[in-house]
Amino acid sequence: MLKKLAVTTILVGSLTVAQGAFAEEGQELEEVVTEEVMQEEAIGETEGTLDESVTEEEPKQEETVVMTPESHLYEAIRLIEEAIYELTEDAAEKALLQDGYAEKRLEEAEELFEKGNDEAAEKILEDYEKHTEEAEKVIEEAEENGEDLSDVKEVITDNTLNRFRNLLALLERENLPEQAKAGIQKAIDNKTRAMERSGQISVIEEIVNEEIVSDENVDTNSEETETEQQKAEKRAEKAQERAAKQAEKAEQREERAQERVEERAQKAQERVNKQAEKAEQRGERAQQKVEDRAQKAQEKANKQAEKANENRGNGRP
Amino acid sequence: MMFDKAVHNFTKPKRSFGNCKIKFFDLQNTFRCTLLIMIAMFVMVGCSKVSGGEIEEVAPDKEVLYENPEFGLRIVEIEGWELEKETANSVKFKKDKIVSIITVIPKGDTVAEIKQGFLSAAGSVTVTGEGPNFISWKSDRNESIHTNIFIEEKHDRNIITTFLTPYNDYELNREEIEAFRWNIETY
Repeated sequence: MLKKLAVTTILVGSLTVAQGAFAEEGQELEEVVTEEVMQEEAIGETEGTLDESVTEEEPKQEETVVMTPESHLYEAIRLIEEAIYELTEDAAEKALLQDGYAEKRLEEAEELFEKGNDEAAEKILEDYEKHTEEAEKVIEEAEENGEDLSDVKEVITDNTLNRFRNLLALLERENLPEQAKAGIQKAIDNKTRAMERSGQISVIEEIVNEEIVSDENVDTNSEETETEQQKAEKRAEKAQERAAKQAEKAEQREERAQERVEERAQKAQERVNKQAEKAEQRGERAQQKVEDRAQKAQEKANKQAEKANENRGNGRP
Repeated sequence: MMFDKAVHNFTKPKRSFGNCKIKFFDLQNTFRCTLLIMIAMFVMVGCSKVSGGEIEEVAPDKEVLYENPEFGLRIVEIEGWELEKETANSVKFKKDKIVSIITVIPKGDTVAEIKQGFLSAAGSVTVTGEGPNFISWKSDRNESIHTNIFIEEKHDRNIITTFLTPYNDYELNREEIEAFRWNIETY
């Protein structure tokens, strides 16, 4: 009986120890499994065969989900984007990557505005602008180096203009707070300025006009109900207002630029006048000094002559 | 019945040398053995608990490239690798044309959800490998980039290690990636 007990104890003890040991080594085992997966993957890739769960020829069609900064994975995703951009060497690919990132940022901003996280959305809109600027910069540099990126440029310009339309549409949302609208307006203004710089302001004007026309079309097609018509009218009005604002802003910018030019010219003139005045003063002072010196010399000469005359009168040589 | 037989076989004299029978397991020896095993067990369990609860110290001959007790993460120095950037929950390292990003996120999403999150954010890609805690893909672009993602589950957090390298250089850089992985210590 005692023997049985002893043997049972040994068996139970061994099992306990084994369990403890494996629990501690669980992580290592997991790593080994992952390693094996990696090895399998290597074999799969080199031998042209694949894991059962993998389809080489047909990429997995995953549902597109907009990832926002609210996700724990967001930072890692942004760092991955950054790394992909760094590892990419071809200018055309780099520009297209930045264009794609800009697209994602806009989607994220829309999602965040939808959720009411305006602060995060505005920050994302700033990143959106950085991506578009970077894409433009890459193209400019490549063209300076003699590369022909006209095709890529065309694609990017089309995408940028589509996004500009999205921004305009986003601005129209009625439930958007003023602060958010200001953020979007800023992005629109920056884009308008960039297009102005590149001599493409007419394209922007066209889009704004398109918006007005499309709103008017909506207006004519939606005569079925009074409320719809009213909404369309409102949209048209808003689009009109926006266009007027844009024009006004452009005008203001021009005026400001003109004012700055005039100010600069005036300042330059003032500087020239001051310098002339100073030069004149310096001349006068110099003239005065010369006259003073001449007068002193004359006085000295007179004194010496007087002394000489006196000496002669006293019979001194 | 079977058990009785087994015990009998286990404790019966195993060998005989002529007339002299040697008993390997008599009652006293059995008790002594049991006691010894039990003591050894207690010592082993005790030791493992002590080492598990504290931050393990790095061996004195190893230089540390990066350490963050908040993340419970340490990277032992490895030639050519440099710390490039640190954010609230991620840290980025680089060596030539390899980038490694280690991200520590609180427990919440399942491994499948994490994989799905990364995959959907990656855009147009072709998956080249997948395991229980691992996924890899290459981007469908002219200049394709290969991405490996390893997810390590801890009781309170998930540690995600990502490696990126140009697809054309992946085979060349595989050893470097493996070497860096082995230098990642989590606690």
